Amino acid sequence: MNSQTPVIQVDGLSRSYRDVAALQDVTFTLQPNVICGLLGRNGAGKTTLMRMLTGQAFPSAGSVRLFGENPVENSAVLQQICFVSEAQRYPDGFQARHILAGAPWFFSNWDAAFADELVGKFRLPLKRDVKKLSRGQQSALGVIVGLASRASITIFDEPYLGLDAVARHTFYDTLLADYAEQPRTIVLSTHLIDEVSNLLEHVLVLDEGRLLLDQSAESLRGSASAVAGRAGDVDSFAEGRQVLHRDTLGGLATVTIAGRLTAADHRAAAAANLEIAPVSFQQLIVDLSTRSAPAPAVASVVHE
Amino acid sequence: MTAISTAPPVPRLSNRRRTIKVMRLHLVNRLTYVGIPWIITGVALVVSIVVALLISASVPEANRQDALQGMSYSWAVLSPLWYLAVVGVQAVNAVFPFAMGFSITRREYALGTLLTYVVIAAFNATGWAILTEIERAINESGVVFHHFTALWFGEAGAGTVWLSLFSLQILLFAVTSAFGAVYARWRAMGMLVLWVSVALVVLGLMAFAVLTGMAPPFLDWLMGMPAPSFFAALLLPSALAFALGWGALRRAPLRG
Amino acid sequence: MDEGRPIFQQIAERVENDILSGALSEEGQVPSTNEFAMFYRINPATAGKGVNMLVEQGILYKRRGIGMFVVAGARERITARRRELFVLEYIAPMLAEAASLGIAPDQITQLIENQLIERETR
Repeated sequence: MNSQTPVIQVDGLSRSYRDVAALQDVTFTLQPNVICGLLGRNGAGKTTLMRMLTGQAFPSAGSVRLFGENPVENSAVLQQICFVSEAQRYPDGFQARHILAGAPWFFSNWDAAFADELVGKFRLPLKRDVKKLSRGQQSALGVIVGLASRASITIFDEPYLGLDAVARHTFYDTLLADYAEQPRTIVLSTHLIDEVSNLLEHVLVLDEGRLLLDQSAESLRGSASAVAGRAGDVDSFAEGRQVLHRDTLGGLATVTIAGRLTAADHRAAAAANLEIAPVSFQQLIVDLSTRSAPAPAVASVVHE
Repeated sequence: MTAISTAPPVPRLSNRRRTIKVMRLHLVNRLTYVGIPWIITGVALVVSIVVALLISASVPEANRQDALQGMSYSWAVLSPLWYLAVVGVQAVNAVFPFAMGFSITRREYALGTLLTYVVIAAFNATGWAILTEIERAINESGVVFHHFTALWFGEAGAGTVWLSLFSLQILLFAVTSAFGAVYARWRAMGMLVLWVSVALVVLGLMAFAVLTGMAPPFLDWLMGMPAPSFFAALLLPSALAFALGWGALRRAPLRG
Repeated sequence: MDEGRPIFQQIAERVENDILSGALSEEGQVPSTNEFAMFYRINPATAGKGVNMLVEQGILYKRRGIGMFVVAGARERITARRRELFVLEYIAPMLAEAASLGIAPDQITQLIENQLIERETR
């Protein structure tokens, strides 16, 4: 797949507001038809990045290319993009039916029958002022627009605030089923990392405006382990390894170690009475983005 | 695997068609642009009729005609315009972020919005001008009633009435959406600078006019201007306001 | 899905288990990549990677335009490989644990025999 032209090319992208750097020198490319997770803590720069990807905000430095073109004021590019924002605002008096009526005028791949089906699945009231819908119903509306747009690049920013577990699983299932039928590039920004981790093929992690990780989800999975036992034994096992996180409880310690452990490591740990447990996807990203040490070194260690 | 070309796989829709679609998007909920202005027109008309009936009932017959003539100084005919000022702000404040969410470019949005304003202003002006003519005919038949035939609408021809209503609406839309756009681009600081500069320009012009003794001849010229020319001339500040609005909007970022 | 290991490996293992148990018969068709993806709620590319790994290992084969099928003899191949792994994954850790608990080798064989008898009589 790597020989294909990337659909998203971001090069040295920076954005600062006064003296606050929202994004710093972010560079990555994304291949077509990949489901990519854009992860990071609140304020890490996710929304800023997505707004610049979609031409809604302007970079201080660096460039964004979608399908090889600058997206700003480029309607040929923009009409193949759908950005579903958690903070989407709607005009007064607009109802869901107005929005679904207007969407096909701007999204060239819009599928009205699919939108209708989703309205039923999410039980979205069509004839109520959108501003009076619950948070979850507003999210459902966004999800419906995003899925039914069938845009070549669909970007979801926290698409399921207020959605209950049933509705979220409806979203995941529908996304997967529709993606399988009509592959397209999907960027999913969320902090419900564990819920979506199995859906992702690629992961971008932002932390304090910097790109911390840019790698395949599978290579990240299992790329760190939690080692627990007596503090002294744990520390001597961890010596010379990259420790992402360390917790102590009395004389006991748990450390998160980057990199895959070999069979020899497992034997050594067993001999020292240490317990080794896998670190969940979410925990790994939390550990990576709460570290104080500079990021790039980590990314290269975790890389396979 | 063969490399795919960087050309977008979807045919490019012409900008013109998307601009028209922005207009349709504005009008998808017709209550905002058509419903409410005409509801206000209807309510104002009913109020005027009630007032006229009250006058007829309470004023002695000898003075009744004069009292009813007094209604021609009411501004009731212009009442929907104040609502349209709100629409102008709302168009930038809420419709612009919404339009960006529909992957619409700023240029398409601005042109489509301008087009919407022109169509709506023309539609409303036509409706109100027709009602003015109907009221004039009623007055000629001997029933004294002034709602539409108020202000300059009493004497002016139908064309002038239409033009004045049209250009007043355009001016309102232009000024309010320019303020909205400046706010979208520079937030509160932009508002402050805009208000201060407007005040300074107005004060400066007044000072200039008074100090150079140009004020009286200028006012005479303005007052002596034929109504159609005056209202046509209002389109000039409207164009300036639209230019300012577009200048602000074309680089306005979307914020949370 | 188990957190610690790549999902494609786990998919491949599950297919192998189904072949061993007979749930998937030799020369029988296996579910499509998308069906796997939807069933396990995982990314289709990841599911595809697991399936492709089995194709490379000669467990599955592709019939163009129809789908994926189990290779004749796949079961034997899987059994052979798992037997090799059996020592590494089960016997070796057991011996290590036995050593740390001070269980002597002849006691281990005794324990295994006891277990077998218990299973047969159950």
